[in-house]
Amino acid sequence: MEIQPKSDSLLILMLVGLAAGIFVLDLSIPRGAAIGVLYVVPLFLSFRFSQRTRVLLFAAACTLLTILGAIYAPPGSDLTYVVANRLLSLLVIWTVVLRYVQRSRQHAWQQESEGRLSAILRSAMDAIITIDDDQRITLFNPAAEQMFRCSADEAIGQPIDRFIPERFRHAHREHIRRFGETKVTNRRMGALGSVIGLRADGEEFPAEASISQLDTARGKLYSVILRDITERKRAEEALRESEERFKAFMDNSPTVAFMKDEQGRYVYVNQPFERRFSKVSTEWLGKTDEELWPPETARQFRANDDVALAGEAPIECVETVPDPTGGLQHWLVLKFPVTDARGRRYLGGAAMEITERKRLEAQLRHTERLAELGTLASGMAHEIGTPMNVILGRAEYLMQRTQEPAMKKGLETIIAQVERITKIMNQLLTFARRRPTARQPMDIRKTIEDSLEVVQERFRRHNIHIETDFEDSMPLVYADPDQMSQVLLNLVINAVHAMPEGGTLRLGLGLAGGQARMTVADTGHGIPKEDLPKIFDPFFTTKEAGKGTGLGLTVVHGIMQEHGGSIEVESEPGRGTTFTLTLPIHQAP
Amino acid sequence: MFKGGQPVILLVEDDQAMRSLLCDELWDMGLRIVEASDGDEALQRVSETRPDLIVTDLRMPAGGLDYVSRLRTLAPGCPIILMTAFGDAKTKDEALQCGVAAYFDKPVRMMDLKATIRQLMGNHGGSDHRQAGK
Repeated sequence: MEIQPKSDSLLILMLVGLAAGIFVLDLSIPRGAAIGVLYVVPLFLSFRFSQRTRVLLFAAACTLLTILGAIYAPPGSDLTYVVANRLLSLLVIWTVVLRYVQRSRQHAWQQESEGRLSAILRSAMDAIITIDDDQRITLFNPAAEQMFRCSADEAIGQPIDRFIPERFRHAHREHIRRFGETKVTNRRMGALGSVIGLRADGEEFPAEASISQLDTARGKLYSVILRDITERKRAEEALRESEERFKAFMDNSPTVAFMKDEQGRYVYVNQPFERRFSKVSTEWLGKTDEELWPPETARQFRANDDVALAGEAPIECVETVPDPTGGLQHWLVLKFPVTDARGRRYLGGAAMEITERKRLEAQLRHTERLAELGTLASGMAHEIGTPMNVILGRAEYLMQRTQEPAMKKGLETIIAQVERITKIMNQLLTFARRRPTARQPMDIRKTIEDSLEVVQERFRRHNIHIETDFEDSMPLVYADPDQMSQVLLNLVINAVHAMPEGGTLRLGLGLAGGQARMTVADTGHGIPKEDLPKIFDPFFTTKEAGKGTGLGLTVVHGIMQEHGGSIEVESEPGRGTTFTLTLPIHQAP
Repeated sequence: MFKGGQPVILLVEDDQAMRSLLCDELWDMGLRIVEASDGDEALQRVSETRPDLIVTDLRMPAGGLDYVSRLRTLAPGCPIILMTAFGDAKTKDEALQCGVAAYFDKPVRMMDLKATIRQLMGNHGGSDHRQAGK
């Protein structure tokens, strides 16, 4: 539509010529002829001017010439007719001009709008593609060219399928078809708004897509806007991988790990943590120790947390946690302040259970103490044997030579006390000098029954009732038969001593955790709680002076340890005591 | 049976109080008591006095099982009663191997010791008659 300025001047000359010709014609014909209407012809031609003002000026000129023609033309018709005729001409001229102005405005607006749209299409970062009812491409913007590595010239007219991987084509076609049937004008495409595109070179890529539809005179038009999210996906994938790696690391860690915010709320616990404390809670995040643990445990945690959060360096501490079985777990915990990228402070922690280590250390200390005791006892025995012999001998010597009752009584006491020391020394030496354990496959049930048989007479005398609960077909255990007899006799005799008024002695034998499990339970006077931790210590006895050496259970404990077994005690004063022993099963080669 | 006169008993004990106790307990048994306070002295007394019975401690200067063996060699027919403070089973076995007639762990009851002495003196014939007592 654009006309060069030089053509404009040619047009002006031509129009001026035409207008002048019409004016000359008008002047040569009597008034009344409708010559004015002829100006419409050059006026139409003037629409070719590039500027609208020129058209208007020319229309004004034509108006003036029409009026002048009316004045200066030779007289003819009636004046009223002439005026009406001229007015009609002017009306025609200005109607044409106004129509022109209107159209040209509309045209300018349309041009501007198209220009804007085209700029948007050109500069858009997203690929914009329009397709027609047959799903053939009608528009393909530069971003689309770049994204699909295909020029618009090549793309336009092609079916959209070309840019969709084979396997998705059918679904995609259906998707568009169904979308076309809806009244919805705009929606996202694909699952979660993302689709897979196919570049001209065969590479596939993920894209976010939305589609809109428009009904036009030539049928439906669909516009698809696509954004290549390869990079975003890659970044997301890298992040996800990194997170997964971190999670795998934390969840396979032999330590339990956790993180709390400054208010003490858990913000992270690893899987080992969850597994380990699943009985405490199944939900940790957002909760504080005070909500999860007994008050004393929580206080202990909080105190250490505060120390770690107040400093910059990690702190190491041993924390105790109540065990579901009633005991205490010991944990070695490293606590450290954590500052994240946004400057928020947290408490980080990694912990390892050391209950077993502590137990073994205690056991080792105990064993070492016993070994020292044995050495000491052996050395001492040699030194005190002769002096004791002298005391004993002298007392006996005097005993034979006196009749005085007081003297006799005193000497008897001396003799009895020396005998008591002798008994203690002998037991201590038995322990110190016990031969190495000779383990062999053996039937522990028989040993229990034999031990009971030996003490049968005492049971009767003390009115003690025996109950046994032995599992049938027990496998053989791997132990030293003599030492097992010693252990059982010791426990059974202790039980008899604990029930001077009679009672029930229950013996059990079964399998537990792949080991033989024996129980010796009495209904005797029991052991005070404060004494329980000491009962395996050398020289600890609850029996009245002279009745026990305080070594029986020490020996039993030592034997069980040497067998790779265990002995545990539970007791309730007034209700009785239960010893639970475990022994390894014999593994047939 | 004895080589004329009172039978001789050799008491070997390094502890003076113990030795004195043994002397007091045995003096009325009709024996001549010869004392020694260590192993060397004991061997010397054996050659001098040819005892009919030896009661000896084990752990003392110049003592030990070597000493007992030498004693045995020096007085082959003489019964030996060995005493030691809280001896263990191994010591006892070895002592009996060495040919001692009786073995006692200290503290020993004098009654038991005297009974053994009487028995050995009555059956004085050598070390075949072995007895372990306590």
